[in-house]
Amino acid sequence: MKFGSSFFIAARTLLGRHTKPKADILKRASSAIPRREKALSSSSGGMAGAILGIGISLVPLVLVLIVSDGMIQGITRRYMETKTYHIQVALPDGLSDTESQKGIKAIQSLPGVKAAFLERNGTGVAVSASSSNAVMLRAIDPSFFSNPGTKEFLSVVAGNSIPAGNRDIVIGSSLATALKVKLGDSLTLITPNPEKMASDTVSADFSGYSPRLSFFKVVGIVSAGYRDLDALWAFINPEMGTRLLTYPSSAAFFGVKVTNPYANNLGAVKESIIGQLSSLYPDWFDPYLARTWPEIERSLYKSFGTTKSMLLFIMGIALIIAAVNLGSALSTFVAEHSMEIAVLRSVGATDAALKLIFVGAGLITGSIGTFLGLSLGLFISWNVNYLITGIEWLVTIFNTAIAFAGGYPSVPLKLLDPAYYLEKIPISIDFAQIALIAALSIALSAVASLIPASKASRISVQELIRKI
Amino acid sequence: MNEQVGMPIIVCKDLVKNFESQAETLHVLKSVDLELAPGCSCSIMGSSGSGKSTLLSILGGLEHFDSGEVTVGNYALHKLAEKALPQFRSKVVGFVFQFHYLLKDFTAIENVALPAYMMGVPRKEAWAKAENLLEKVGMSDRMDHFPSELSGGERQRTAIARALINDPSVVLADEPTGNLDTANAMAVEELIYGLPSLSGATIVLATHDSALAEAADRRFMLFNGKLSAT
Repeated sequence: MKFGSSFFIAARTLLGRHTKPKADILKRASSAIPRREKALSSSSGGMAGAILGIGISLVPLVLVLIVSDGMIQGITRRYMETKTYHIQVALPDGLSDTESQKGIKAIQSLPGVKAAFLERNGTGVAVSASSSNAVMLRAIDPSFFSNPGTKEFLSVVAGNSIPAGNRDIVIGSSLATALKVKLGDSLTLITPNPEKMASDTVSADFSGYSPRLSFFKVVGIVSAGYRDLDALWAFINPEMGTRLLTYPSSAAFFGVKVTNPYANNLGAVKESIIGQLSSLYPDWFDPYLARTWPEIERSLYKSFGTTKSMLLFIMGIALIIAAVNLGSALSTFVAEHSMEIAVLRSVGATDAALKLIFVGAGLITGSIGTFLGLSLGLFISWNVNYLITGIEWLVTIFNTAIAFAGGYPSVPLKLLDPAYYLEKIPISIDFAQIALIAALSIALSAVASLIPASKASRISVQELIRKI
Repeated sequence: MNEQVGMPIIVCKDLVKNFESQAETLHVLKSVDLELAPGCSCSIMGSSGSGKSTLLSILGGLEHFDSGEVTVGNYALHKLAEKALPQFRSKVVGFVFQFHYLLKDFTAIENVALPAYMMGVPRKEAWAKAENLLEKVGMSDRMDHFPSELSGGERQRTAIARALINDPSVVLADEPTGNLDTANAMAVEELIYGLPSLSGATIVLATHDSALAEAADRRFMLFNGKLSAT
């Protein structure tokens, strides 16, 4: 028995005829066809259901994979390009600008490194005319704002992104909303003043520091498209940063951007930076001061990864249930085709050949279901933002109509609250993962067909012939 | 009647087959002896339940037997391993049943070609052979029709062509006209008795139809588990 004949039999039995009987012949034949052949096969409906089951179970799996990948990558890239950098190297207190610039140059000369910046950051309180809010103050070299990675994810909402003057401040869009400030408004920053101690005791919660008030003008409002970032940031220029952001209430570090932050050689680039800085700063540099982006935001990415894994696990269970359904449909299929199996056995089909026919039927069913499911899943994933907008629009109309009838105000529906998620889901399709899902789905279908295939191989010719 | 020359193609010696049930043991075949020469036709008559189909099934390797020796072609079925039976069925015997048992999702030519295709004969070759056989049984213009588009006689003729596709040395026909009207039964009868000249195969026919049985080279009656020549 060759594979070709097994698949030919499986495909034809599953997919049926390619021509339709002529009406007169059908009429003539119907009187002579025995009961068994006239009976409409219920397994054909079952197999169609099995195909549909596999297809439908794959849609959410693909959607979760693509959307979660898109969102995770969307958030992580935002973090990397605008906050954590790809690699950070912590600097000691009091490192002079000259020494820092030597380090920046040394890092930039390394292969795999695209850019390096000196950043000082610390916390403070921003006070506007009507409100106040905690802020993360960041003082970075202006070249950071023109870096392509930064520009991709840090958009200018108003004014400009660079705080050029000492009294210029650029703030995140959500912070601007919270403080109710707009371009040109004044903003007061309260930061710790370590030089003027209120007492001799200095603690980590700032007790013991006297506050320092600094006055700024809002020259720009920026957005990273992610509320966690936009609600905290305030950018000031490096010179002002040196004055306001001092040890121990602030930190200084080199932010490094590499050619490909997702590449496996990120660790190797970190090691080369460690090597370079160890020789440049032999007195104080220690390898633990350098960290890659997954090390910096380990808990955040682990949480993303765990959520994605759980979702995929749940969707995977749906796929397994669909495969079990396929096995059940195939069992019915075997039972309804027992006569054909007996005939094949009588003409010399071996057990292995009969098994192959039904495993082939499982593979064909699984492949069609997988193709349909992946196609639909990819289509929906590609258009998920339109779909969400459409659903929001429809529900809002419905909601408005009910609100109008009830006489109370309507609240527009937001499925993805931009306060907590990205404003738009970035679509990221990893075709290797899609291929893996397809292979897994087809393999599961083949496994699910093993029991019915085994049943088919045990059908006795004699038992069937005696029934007639 | 053909002369029995050379080695017999079918030999049954002291063949015994019982069916066990909870209540009793049914002795279907009691010491059946049979020898058939290549190319001859043989009919077996008997009442319903006399064991005709069981004997044919044993000769075709579809049914096990309790004791005795059965040799068909070069295969000693009493010694043959279970795994070798499919090869025996595909190479040595061809079956024609009372009901055609054509696969309903396959055309006439596909039904005929499949046993050869399954045995590894290249597709083109299997189809060409099937076409040739269908022409011989008068089905040249119905090859691409599905079983539901064929009359009872046409289906049985297709089934006969299918039985011959692997050049069997023995064709076992179990009530081949039992499901047909008189005209179709006569056509099938002509075809079946033409098989030795068509393919050189030995025909073993189980039937209730005395006219069909009479036309065979050798005629037997199966009664009370014993086979006797008539």
